[in-house]
Amino acid sequence: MSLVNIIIDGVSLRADAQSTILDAAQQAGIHIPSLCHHPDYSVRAVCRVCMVESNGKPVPACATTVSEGMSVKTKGARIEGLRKTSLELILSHHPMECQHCARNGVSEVADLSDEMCGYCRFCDCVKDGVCELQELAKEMNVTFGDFTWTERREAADESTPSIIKDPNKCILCRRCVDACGKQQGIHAWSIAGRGEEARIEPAFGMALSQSNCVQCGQCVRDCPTGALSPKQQADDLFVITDNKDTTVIAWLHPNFLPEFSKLGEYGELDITEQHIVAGLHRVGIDIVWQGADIALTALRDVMGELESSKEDTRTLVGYSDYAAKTLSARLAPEGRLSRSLSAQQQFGRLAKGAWAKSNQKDPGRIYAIALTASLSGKAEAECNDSCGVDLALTPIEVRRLFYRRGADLSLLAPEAFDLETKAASLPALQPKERGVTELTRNGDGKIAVAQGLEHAQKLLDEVNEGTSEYDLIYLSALPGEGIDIRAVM
Amino acid sequence: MKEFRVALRNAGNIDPHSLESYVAAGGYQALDMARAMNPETLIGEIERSGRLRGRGGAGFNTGSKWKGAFKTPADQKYIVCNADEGEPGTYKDRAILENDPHTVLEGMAIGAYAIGASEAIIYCRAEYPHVAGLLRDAIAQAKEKLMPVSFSVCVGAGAYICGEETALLNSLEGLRGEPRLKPPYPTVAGLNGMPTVINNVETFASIPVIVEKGAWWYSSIGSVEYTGTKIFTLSGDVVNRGYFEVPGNTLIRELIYDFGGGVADGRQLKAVQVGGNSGAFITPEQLDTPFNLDALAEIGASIGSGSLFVLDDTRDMSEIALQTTRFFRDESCGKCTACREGVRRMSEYLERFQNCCAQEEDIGRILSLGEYMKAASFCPLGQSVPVPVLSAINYFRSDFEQRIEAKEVALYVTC
Repeated sequence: MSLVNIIIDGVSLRADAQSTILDAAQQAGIHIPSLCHHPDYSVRAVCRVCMVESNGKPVPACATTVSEGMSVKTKGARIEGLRKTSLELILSHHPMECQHCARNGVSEVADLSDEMCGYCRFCDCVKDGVCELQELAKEMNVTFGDFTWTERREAADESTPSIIKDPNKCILCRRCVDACGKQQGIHAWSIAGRGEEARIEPAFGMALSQSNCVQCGQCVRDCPTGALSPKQQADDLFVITDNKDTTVIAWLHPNFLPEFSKLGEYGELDITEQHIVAGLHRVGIDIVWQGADIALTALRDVMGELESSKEDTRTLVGYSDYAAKTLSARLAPEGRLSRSLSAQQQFGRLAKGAWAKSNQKDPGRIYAIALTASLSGKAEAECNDSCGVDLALTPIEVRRLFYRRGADLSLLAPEAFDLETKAASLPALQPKERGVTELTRNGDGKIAVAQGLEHAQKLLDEVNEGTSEYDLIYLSALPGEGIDIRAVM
Repeated sequence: MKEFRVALRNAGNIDPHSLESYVAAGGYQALDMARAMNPETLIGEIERSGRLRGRGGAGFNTGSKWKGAFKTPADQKYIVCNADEGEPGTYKDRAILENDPHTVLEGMAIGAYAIGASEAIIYCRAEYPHVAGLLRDAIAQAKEKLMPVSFSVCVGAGAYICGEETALLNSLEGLRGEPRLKPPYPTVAGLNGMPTVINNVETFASIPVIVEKGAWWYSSIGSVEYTGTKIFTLSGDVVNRGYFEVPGNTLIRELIYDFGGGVADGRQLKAVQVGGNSGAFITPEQLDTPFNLDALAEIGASIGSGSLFVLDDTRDMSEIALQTTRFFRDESCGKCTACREGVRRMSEYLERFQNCCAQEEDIGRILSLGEYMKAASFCPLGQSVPVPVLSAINYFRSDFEQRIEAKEVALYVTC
């Protein structure tokens, strides 16, 4: 690694010769606002928000590599003016519901403080409070400036049970295209049209449900605005919870807390699962189950399946989530797909079966709600094979749910689960890294765990070609969302 | 005044459909001469003494470009001819290709030999289907002469942006026609990630002559920093609309009055847009500027594609500025915020002047948006959108101000 000397805002630094101005500044603790940039993806430099002056010339910080003797200015009227104009141009073409609050009559972003907004957060945009564009607008104190605000009225794509695309909120940063194509290898999103008609959509303008989308949720996770969001089902939950004669059981998947505790102001609180339980009790959920036991049962079932087909030399295809299952069902050879129930299905079956029986409840009046960070859980809850799970809710929805029902986690005392996991220590989640991990079992059995759908497709291709050397391939759509399979080995 | 034809030397003298006719006029001799040379000597000849600067608009030294690709080690290199002549009012490449396709093939073959490319591709504008056909015939006829370089013709899909070299590469690769991040430059990582030289039709057409007659001969023509000849195309309110090839030290006044025969219908000249739709307007007082890159840059204009769009005194510059901006609004690829959203706002502002709803502040808004687009756009398309608009306001501000006054009159009348 060779180092070069650069000056940022008068401060002399040594930076890696390969790094960009944005990276170098970040390491030195100098903040440069950026929008389309995402560390996981290659540089696109399309939003023009991170403009800085390098040797007197305006350049995008995300796309400019540092060089010896480079002098960078990140502040100043001219450069900040450029950044503001970029943002104004985006905002002049973006729905304004997060900046004009009907309840308190505020129409300037400068007036929108957390205290004022804390009342309700019922704003129509799902991403209100966790939106990168909104955050930048606040930081730079920008609305649409002198430009005439132009409304966009394009129809949303609501064709899938889990992902909603609102084209009016799209800023064409292209993260979703990279997420779907480069990272997951699915290629459902593409850019169509040119100039002001440029838009993100599946090939040939098809609905998302007709494309090869498997609803893994990677694009939703990376979308900086409300253009791609999980389908909001809070109202469906209220219909259930507001009904007196029902028993509502929620199951908290172990992957829920890490995602939830990152959202907005929760990042500053020390949120535990027990806080969430307290919140859930406030919004009308009667019983909350801790997730690990059921998740482990699902893993044990897959291992059991592998055990029982020991004579079979072919590869068994297991999956940790519904997106990976959808992809495997499409690509895996006949009869090799694991028949074990997923964790979420196990939960539905248990709640409406054994639990209902032992507690003498009518399964028809029990509602099973899965709380999971994996977006494909929503699709699984909607499919024919949901095994009784009525709803799956994602962290963003639960956060808004808490606001709507006045459950303030900073004030609530933690409450215990109604059904705790028996295991002494909770099993670890999968590591966040993408790729294929090889594991050995009982000395000779070989297992491969794929994290990320691109790697899953590679393993599936091997199975199809007959070159796979594994007894089991265990596929996971998004890294860090499933339980580490080593917990049952 | 007489023309000085280099790139167009065979136009009208030979049959463009016949290889024999081109060979009889001395064709493909330069290729043999070049192949007898060491590639480094050949590039040096074009780089140092010839000072041939790219005729596409940017004016980059052709020899330096070739040297960059020559020095980059790779298994496969490409030479690409940019025949995506999308600039409004420009038809010089068409003139060359229609009259003498072989000279371009020869120039490309010389370039291919110089950098060590085995594949040559001509990216032809979709609106020139007959040219694409003519080129394919020419390639088939000259196959033996061009060996071992394999030639092909690729037809675009009607996007102006694909005349930008990296967008052109994207288009050749079957991707969306959008500019790429530079660096890496195409000479290092171009088509399919391999070193690629992209030159304009006119540049390639000049190469055989330089090789044949020597660099010193070529550098004696034109101005010191912009040697050789340049084809210009006349359009707009001028008597003779057409293409002419002249040395680079010819004055713009001579181009319009001697070659063009002056302004049509005996009217007065108001402005000239130099270099295509993205070029700046110049005033009658600036006509004594030589027609070359540096001289034009000094007065804030650029030679661009070499077109001259002549406007007489009946034209309203606020209308012309809107026209140029509308073109870009159609042709912006939509990749970066600055161009996609900027050009749309720019044309909205300019439309106000036509709809009698412009305010005094709108001129200031246009100026500041223009400065923003120049500084923040991803590629030359977005950066050049404000150029004609800003120069129109700079020199013909009264045309805009009249429109603001017209609004007051209109309101008065309706009241």
